[in-house]
This record gives sequence, C-alpha cells and structure tokens, in this order.
Amino acid sequence: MTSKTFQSLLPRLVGLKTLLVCDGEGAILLRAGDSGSELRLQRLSATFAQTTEHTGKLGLGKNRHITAFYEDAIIVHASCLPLVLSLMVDADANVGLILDELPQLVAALAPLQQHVERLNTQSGRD
Amino acid sequence: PCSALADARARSGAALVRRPMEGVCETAMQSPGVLGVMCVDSHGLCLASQGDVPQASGAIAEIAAQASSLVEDGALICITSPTRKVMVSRSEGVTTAIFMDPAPNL
Repeated sequence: MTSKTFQSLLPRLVGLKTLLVCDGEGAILLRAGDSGSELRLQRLSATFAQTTEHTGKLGLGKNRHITAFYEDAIIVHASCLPLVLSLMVDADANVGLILDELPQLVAALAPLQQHVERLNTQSGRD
Repeated sequence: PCSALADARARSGAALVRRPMEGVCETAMQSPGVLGVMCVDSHGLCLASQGDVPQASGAIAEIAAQASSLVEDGALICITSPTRKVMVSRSEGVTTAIFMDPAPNL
C-alpha cells in the first residue's frame, strides 16, 4: 500500500547507504540499500523509538527527527509513530538533501503508519 | 607607515572573518533586487538565512558540489527562471545562495 509512492522518492536520496522502516520494537517493515549495515541501524531504530518519547517531555513539542553524526556515517531517524524511519549515509554526504526530502518520505509512510496503528489497537483489545 | 597600514588591513580582514554570518546576510539583503540569502555548510545544513528562501539547503550544497567537478571552487552558478534568479557560489566549505528578482526585460 505504501510501496509505489515511497519507492519513487528513493532515487532522490543521493548518497543513501541503508534505509529501514521499523516498528517501535525494532521489527523491520521496509528496507532498502546495503544490507550489511541493517543490524546496526535496526538496533539504533529501537533505541530512537524510546528516545523520541523522552525528548517529547522536554517541553518543546513532539520530536520530529534526530540527526546523529558519527566518524563513519551520518544517521537520520524520523519519528512516524508507531513507526521509525532510519536512514544511513556516508560521513561526508550531503545530509541536507535527506532532511529536505524527509517530510515527503514521512507523508508517503502514512498509509503504513495507520495500518500498524490499527493492528496495535486491535491487538491491544484482544 | 607601510607596516601600520598592513597591520590595520590584517586586523580589519580578521574582523571580517569573525563577523557573524547573520550580519553578512543582512548586508546582502540590502542590495537591490535581493529577496533572500542562505549560507549552507558542506553537509547541506543551513548556517544562516534571511528573507524569502526555500527549504532546500541540501539542493544548494549539491549544486555547488556538482559544479566544482566542472570548474574549480569559487565558481558562480546562476540559475534563472521567469520568476526568480538564484546565484550560488562556494568558498572555503561554505556555499552561499542569493535569491533575486529576475533581470527586467529590455
């Protein structure tokens, strides 16, 4: 339900190495790019899901995304609760291009986001 | 006198380097026809901006990076459309974009 629009945005993400869409517990729902970095990114996604909840208590409103600069890579996590969108690029990549496209990527995930929310609500009732 | 002049020039040059980027944007905004100014770092992140500028800091950095593969750093890239003119240049890792009214038809 999400794949066509989301997939059409991927070529615009210059320098992207790995992309993951995970649920709040780190289960991978969508993946793209180099699978070698997936495990690291998956762990970070699960950590971000908890971090974004805590940062929402700082009195600055809901956290939208976090960009983390490492020696070997730059990682962007975007909050689309209950989903987490994580992107990994090279350390010297143009991360601004990724951030410019983030609103469109998050909007393209809306159908999947709503579907997961419905499933979580139903499993909560059962 | 020559050494004093050289010292004064060196000090004013250093002062220019230390001048906040926002001050430089303000100066550029005062030029006629300038609608907006944006300064972007090598990661495509906005360092400073003023006026009417799009949310496209990454694109500005990418344009300068691609141009540098054709010509050396410091080149001026001019993008013209019917409604807007954009001038982009990169120097010492900082890309500056100036958004202007297009030149009037003669």
